[in-house]
Amino acid sequence: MISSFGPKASAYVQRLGDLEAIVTDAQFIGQAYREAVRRRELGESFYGLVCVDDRRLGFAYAFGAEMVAQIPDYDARCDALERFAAGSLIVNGKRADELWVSDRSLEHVCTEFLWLCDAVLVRSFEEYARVEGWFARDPLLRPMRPVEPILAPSAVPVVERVRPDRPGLVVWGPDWPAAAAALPLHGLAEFHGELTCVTAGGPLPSYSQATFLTADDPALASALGRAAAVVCIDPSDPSDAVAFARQGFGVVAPFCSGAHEFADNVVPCDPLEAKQLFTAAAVAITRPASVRAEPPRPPRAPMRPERPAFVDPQTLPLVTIITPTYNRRDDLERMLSCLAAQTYPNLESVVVNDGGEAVDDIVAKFPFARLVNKRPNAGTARAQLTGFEHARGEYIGLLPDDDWLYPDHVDRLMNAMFRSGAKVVHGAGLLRYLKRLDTGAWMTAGFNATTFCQTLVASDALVTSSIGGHQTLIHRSVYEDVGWYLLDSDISDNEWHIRGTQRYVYAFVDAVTTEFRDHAGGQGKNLDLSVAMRQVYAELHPRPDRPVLEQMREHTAAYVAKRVRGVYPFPPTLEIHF
Amino acid sequence: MISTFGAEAVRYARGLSDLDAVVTTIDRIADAFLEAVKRRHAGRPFYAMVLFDDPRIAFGYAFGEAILATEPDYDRRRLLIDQLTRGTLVVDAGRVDGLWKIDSMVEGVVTEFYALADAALVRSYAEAARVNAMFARVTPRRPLPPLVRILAAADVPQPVRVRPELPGVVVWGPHRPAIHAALHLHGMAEFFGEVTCVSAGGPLPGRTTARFCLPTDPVVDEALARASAVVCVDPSDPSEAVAFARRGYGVVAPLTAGAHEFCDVVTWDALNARFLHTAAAVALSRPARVREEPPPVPSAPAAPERPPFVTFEQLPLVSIVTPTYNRRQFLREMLTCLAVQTYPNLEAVVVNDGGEPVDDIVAEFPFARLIDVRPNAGALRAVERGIAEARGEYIGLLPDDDWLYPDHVERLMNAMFRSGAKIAHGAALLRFVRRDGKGGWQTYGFNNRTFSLTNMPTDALITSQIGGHQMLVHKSVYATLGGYLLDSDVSDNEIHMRFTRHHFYAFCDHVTAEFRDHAGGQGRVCDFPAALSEIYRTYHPTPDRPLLNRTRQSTIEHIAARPAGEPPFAMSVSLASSQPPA
Repeated sequence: MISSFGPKASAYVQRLGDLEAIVTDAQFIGQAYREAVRRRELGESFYGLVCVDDRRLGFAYAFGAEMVAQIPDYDARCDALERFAAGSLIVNGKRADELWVSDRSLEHVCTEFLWLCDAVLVRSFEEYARVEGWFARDPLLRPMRPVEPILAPSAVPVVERVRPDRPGLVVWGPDWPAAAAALPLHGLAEFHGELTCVTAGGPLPSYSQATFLTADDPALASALGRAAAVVCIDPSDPSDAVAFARQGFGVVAPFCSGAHEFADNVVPCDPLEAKQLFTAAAVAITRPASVRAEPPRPPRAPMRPERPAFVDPQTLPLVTIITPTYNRRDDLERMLSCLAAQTYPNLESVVVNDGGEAVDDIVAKFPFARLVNKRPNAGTARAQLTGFEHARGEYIGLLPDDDWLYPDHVDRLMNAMFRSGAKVVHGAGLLRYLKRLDTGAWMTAGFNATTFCQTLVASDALVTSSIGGHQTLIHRSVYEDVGWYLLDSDISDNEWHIRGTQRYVYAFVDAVTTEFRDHAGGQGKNLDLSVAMRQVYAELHPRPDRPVLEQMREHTAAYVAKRVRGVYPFPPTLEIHF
Repeated sequence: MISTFGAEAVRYARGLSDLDAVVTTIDRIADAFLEAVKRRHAGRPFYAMVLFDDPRIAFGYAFGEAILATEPDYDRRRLLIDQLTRGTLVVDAGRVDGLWKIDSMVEGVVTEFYALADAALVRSYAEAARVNAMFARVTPRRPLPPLVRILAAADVPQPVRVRPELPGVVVWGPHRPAIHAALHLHGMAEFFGEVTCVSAGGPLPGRTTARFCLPTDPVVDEALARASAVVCVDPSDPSEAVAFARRGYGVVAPLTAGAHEFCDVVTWDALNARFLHTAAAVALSRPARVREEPPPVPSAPAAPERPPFVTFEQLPLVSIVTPTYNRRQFLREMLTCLAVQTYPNLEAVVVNDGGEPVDDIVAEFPFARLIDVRPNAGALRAVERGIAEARGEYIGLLPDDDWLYPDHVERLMNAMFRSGAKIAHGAALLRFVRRDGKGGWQTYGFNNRTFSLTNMPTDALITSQIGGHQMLVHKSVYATLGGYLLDSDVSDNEIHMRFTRHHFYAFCDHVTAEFRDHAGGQGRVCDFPAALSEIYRTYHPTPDRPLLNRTRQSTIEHIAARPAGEPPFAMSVSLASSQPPA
């Protein structure tokens, strides 16, 4: 099923056919993000597509008509628009290229949205380059998603073509207001022939000889029939250009639309470079574009890596998930339901009741779960150790009673283990902020899919790490080799990774398979972790041989010490107001 | 047939099936250019392909080891790589991003080479974007040649894979010196698994625990059998990455290689070594599924066909008018060019402008008619006479020392049919020839830039670079707008001022004609500035366009400042030193 958010996305998906996908306009990314989390929770596999235009063309289409209207002298207009195309024109006191810079925080939300998806749909590899640019700009070292190109069918009219008796061009932008065509039309101002411009209507750009039509105008068929070439203006969607190519028109299309990837002999151009566009039109009227072969349609839903052939499904190793719990009966039941929904078939749960109220009745509902009662309350790390002593599995996972695993978590991580030969593997964790309403109910207040979504290199682990215990599965031999978590440190997770990364490569399943649920208004709200960090640095893992590293440690500890108590240490990327 | 220039081109072309193509590395571009001209001249369609790497990555591969070696401290090396990635690293007193540009002269030649071909082959659309950016930098008005993506077959080992016991990665760069993988190995320094680096050998990068071997080493198979992921080094060629993906490996490849267009590889930017660890950690467990095979590439690029609404019987007569004066040898060559034209309905009107008789030569060519004019009255009057005598519906001009390629008339006529235009023109290659001392002529250079653009009316009001023989013109245009001025030195500029004001020229973006410069410069010995001024003032004044008038003035000043005797249009490719006399 396709969910779409925003007018562009909704219009686009009309043509897509059935797919498991979320398609959104960039401005509607908040809604798309929440839909992605919802699907993720269900363990569904789906694509994400963010409709986003090249910034420069988007800006030019929005403001081009206004600029054209302000410069009545043709030669002065040519000169100014030439500088505009190069980004050097001064508009409202700023260089034009400073006006079409991207909105980094919006891009970051888009990036996190795509991280929540199994794969990215792109309308062309030019679009891939645009989207990849977001990932590359981000300071995090996280790769782009798997990608599938898709070509939507197009509904351009099919017309009877006649031998033209003079050059005819159709400028094609039926989804755009007429004003958006102002700059392409400027490039064709000296075109002597029949010039028709098809748009969605609205105020017309000044200084153009073109005849303006909307796509439902009956005059369109005859204008197209006589035209030798079509100038497509959409900066991102190549489908109309490809459809015209199939009819043997000459086609000019923006390079950034990627139409040249699907059709031969398209003349790609920069529609803001007036002289280039004029030349491209002169070429296209002589050169029919053609489509060599239909690109394959992507599978209905993104494909996940399968279990490798050398693993016998009869002998899948047992995985033990250890959960310490303390007086959170509701959360515990929800957590055990997450385990019950796991698709991996050979799983046990060891619940360690750390001196809290009885949970026997809850655990009894889940046949794969065993309860260990421990008294008195002695803290999470000790309870986990007790759990480990009772674990029978070859692979061990940890899961606090208030966090969640998505249904595919264990399956994906175990497959990664089989494939890679790694003994430590982890996925990515979505951080969900919850707020208690006056009614007592918990509401989601925000998300962050960045902080717990990176892998760890030994050098980085020596400073700090952000991989939660429940994101990992670890072969029991690793614990036997490097030891258990510190029992009395506030950063025992971090400390363990210092030891872990120095001996083992962590395989990284680059998908969100778990959730941190922050009920407290910030992880580690009331702790000064810097004390614990400095203790670990100085007493357990001093590195006097690495002065640069020691400096970074000091910076980090100082930074953590300065954190305001009660404020989220990892800010939500997407805040939900209610 | 594939012609290859340069060792890498020879190697790469082994993965291609038979194609009509010229494949070259940048250092052999002049030789490839000459081969392209030869094929063009013979009217044979072909693809052009230039193998070159993204300059940023090429720099990183070439100097990464040297940069890393300057810093003994591991943590500082990591910071160094951050600076290299961002381009802020200072090397030899300059920011490193100032060093990773391709020389603009070289870029110029590369674009001219592509523009000689019918289509450009690219290894990926990522490469197409590089080519596009190059055209935008060098000749922003010139459209790209049609781009055709090709995936070469790659030969990679196929060991039987076993269940891995610890994470194994093979860094795969068998065609590159070992030090090209220095950044990769730096990025894998904390990868506690089996790292094997396959390279072409040479000095090894330091500070690494990786095992190095040549592609022929038997341990390569063993390492690949145990490995889960392959890190492909090549920054431009996706074919090996795709071959590994087909075997179910996780694959990491540079973004610039475009392997992600064919299969689900993990891309990285190839310099940011710190990112490589993450990419490898992901690739370990993510087999790079291959999408459907891309369709095969036709063995030769196809020229546009005659549109269905024009039948063979309807093809109009085309007259080519040639004034000649005492150049018997050239005249025969020129008429031979017309004899091999593929367009079937053609006549030549040779106007002997008071020179020695050429009746015997013209008689050899049944499609040619001779008109004798006496006494010599100049080429323009001869052209006027020829146009008057022409019987064709479309008229072309051809000075007796220039050439047309065999597909010239056909392509331009097809362009005219398709577009309804009454004027069409192609692009012309400027060939510099000089006496070889043995009575013949020797080519010593080319320029495929000056005569390869179309004209906007505004541009034409200043100056034009479309030669008469690049065009075909419907005779009604001459009838309504008149012919060339008879007494101007810039009458070929002037005619475009009139024609462009009423007609949109269809531009067949294809080299179909040659200017042959015998004189060491197209410039006739005449006073161009004076002639241009006169045209501006007397025939086409534009009092209402002050900006245009300023450009006109500066153009005149620019031309007046040209040193006498120098070719006004510089050579792009000079064969003077590298080529024996042809």
